[in-house]
Order: sequence, then C-alpha cells, then structure tokens
Amino acid sequence: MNVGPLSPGLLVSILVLIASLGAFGFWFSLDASVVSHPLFVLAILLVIFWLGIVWHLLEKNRQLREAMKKMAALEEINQLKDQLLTITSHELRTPITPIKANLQMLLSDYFGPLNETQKKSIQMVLRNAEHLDRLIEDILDVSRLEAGTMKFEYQTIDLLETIQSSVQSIQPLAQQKNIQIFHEPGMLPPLLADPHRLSQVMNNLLTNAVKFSHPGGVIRVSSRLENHEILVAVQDTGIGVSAEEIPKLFKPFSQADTSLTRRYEGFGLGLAISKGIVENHGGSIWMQSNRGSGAVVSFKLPILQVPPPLKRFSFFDTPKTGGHA
Amino acid sequence: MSKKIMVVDDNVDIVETLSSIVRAQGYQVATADNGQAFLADVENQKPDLVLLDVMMPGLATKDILAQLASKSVHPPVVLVTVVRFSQAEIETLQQNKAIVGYIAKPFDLKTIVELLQKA
Repeated sequence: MNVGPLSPGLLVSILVLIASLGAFGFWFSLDASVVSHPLFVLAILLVIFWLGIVWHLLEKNRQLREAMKKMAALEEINQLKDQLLTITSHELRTPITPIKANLQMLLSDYFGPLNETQKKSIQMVLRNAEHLDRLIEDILDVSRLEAGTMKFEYQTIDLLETIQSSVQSIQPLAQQKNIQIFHEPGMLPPLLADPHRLSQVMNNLLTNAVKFSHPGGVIRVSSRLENHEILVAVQDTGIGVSAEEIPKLFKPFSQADTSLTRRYEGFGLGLAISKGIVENHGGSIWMQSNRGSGAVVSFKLPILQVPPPLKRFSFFDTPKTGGHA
Repeated sequence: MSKKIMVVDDNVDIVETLSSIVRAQGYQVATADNGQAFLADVENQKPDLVLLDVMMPGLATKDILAQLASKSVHPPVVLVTVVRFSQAEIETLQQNKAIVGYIAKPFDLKTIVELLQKA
C-alpha cells in the first residue's frame, strides 16, 4: 500500500507559517523598534500558535502513515493466511481422495468379492477416513472464520426445508441410540441466508444433541418467528453442562469436560463454527443447560434485505458469548 | 468402440484410482500428470471427456483451458478440485463452454460412476 504525501491542510499550514515569518522579518528589517509594538507581540503569539498547529498536523500525519503501514502489513498477513489455508486444504484433502475412493471400490467388489469380515474391516477404515475428512473441513472452517475468508452464498430460502433435511439426515445416527427426534415447525417467512452453511449449523447442533444424549432419549427441534427474527432451538435430554462451562463451548477445541473429548469423539469445533456462521448472518447463538438435565441450544436470525458484511472472528481472544439467554 | 476418458492429475494415486473406476465402467482411459503433457497429447488421444485436476504445478487451469480452446479437439472438461467454488465462481466457470461440471475432492465412487454414465 502506498503511503501518501503530506496532506493538503498541512502543506497550506506550512506555507502560511513561512509567509508569516517572512512578512514579520521584513517588517522588523524596516523598523527595529517594532518589537515593542503590541501588534507585533500579538503577531509573534499568532506565529507560535500556528507553529503548534503545524506540529500537531505533522504528528497526525506521522500517525496516519504508521497506521497505513500497519494496515498494509495486516493485509499482507491476511493474504498469506488465505494462501496457507488453500495449500493446507489441498495437501490434507488430496491423500484422503484415493483412500476413500479405493475403500469404496473394495466395498463395491471392484477387485473381487470380499467376505463379511473383510467388508466390516474396510467399512471401519472408510468410516474413519470420512471422519478425518470432516475434521479437516471443520479445522479449515475455523481458520476461514478467523481469517474472514469463509464464503457465504446468500439466497432466499425456506429455512423449514433446511431444518427438515438436517433432521432426516441425522435420523440413522439417532436410531442407532434409539433416540427420537420431534420437529415442531412454526410458520416462517422466506429468509435471506446461505442454505449450505445453515445446514451445517443444524447438523452440528443435531449431531451434538445425539452425541450427548442417553440412549432412548428425546430431541425436540422448534422454529418460530419472534419479534421479526427467526428463532430455532434444539433441545436434548442428554448429559448437559454447568452454566460456567457454557462460554468455553463456543470456542474451538473445547468440550466442557476434557475427559468427554475421549468419551465422545470430536474436536469440539461444531459450536464454534456454528457461532461464526450464525453471527455472520447477523444473528446470535446461545445455550441453556444444567449438568445432568439436558441442554437447549438456540439461535436467532434477523430477516435481512441485503447480506450483512463479512465478520472476522478471534476465537481465542474474545471471552464473550454463551451466556446470551 | 467405447468412449475414452482422459484423466489429468499430478497425484499418481488419484490418476490410478480414477483410471480403475473408468476402466471398470467399460471406458478406455488415457492419462497425463500435468497440464503441458495433457495439451501435448490431447489431439492424439481425442478423449470424449477430460477429468482435469485444479491446482497442478506448472500451467494454471485457466491457461490450460485457454490453450485447449486453440486445439483441433474440444472435449468437455470436468474439473476435479479440492477448492470449494462459490456460486459466483461457478457462474464464471460456466462461461467457459468447455467446462461441463466440477467434482469436489475427496469424491465418492458413486459421483464418478454417475458422471461417467452421463458421458
């Protein structure tokens, strides 16, 4: 970034100052006794005042140049971050591509029939490869939110369809634990939003609800219009968390209890990413819970006419969020 | 005579994987491990479809496509990419008549099979 020359105001001030000093010098050369004249004293005071203004403007100019240099450096760091993300994304996803495809080919008998034990083994490897793929995507999403480079494709959507689709996709996982999911849809107006990203939020909330629910539990999903905002809530009957633990759940790599990270697989990125997505839509997300008595994660979205500006996150610096309710 | 699919990717394992899928679907396969090798061989191979990796070392994808336009053969191209395109980027890509679609890596076997069945 180019740092500009002296501002026009500062240049005019310097020229006025030089002209004034010249004029007073000429006056003094004509009549040396003029120094005792009250008008001359006043003029000298004015020059001193003008000198102060020039000094102030010079200082402002210096500060402006420094700020511009810092902005240029930050911009450069941001571009580097973006490049690093692209490279990381490429290098991490590329090896997973042949792993996944070859496992799927094996399971589809491309290389001859497998027996049941071999199939189970391959299915397990494939499941883990897919899990790894999702983790990479989540880590990249956290980085994108921090760099302010996450892409949002705004369009007018029916949020109920997005919610229904997420509920359907989580059903097989819920059925494995004999968990029932009830969706209580309200009347919702069309919403300007990124359907893919909001699906991601719903999938994260529902996956968490299933993951932390006891077998045979119940999950309730509700959506309604409230004060010109759409309110969506996912309520589970799971293990819950204490009120003090809630804020850190919205930060990456944190489950409430570190021992849970081992008991319930995952990096603890879902809520952090969901917060980033919801807040980029101009909304907010929060959790209400008590240890042992389940949790309700809610988010609200404003009915927007135009997409909001892209927001950058600093997950590791800001202590806010979580206690919204 | 069966159709020919040209697989262009700098990753040997991905070339081998895609080639296996293509052959298993009953198509012929030709391969290239970079943009220049592809451009040098495309007129000779006369493929019915090209699976072109994005972000290979050497020639940029847009340059490969620009040079392909000046060749005597104009096969449809499917971009295979780890980059997630935005809607705006997809619309820009669609302005290039050679591009008929794109597949995200890591891809599913089903996606490739369905694509080949449409080829």
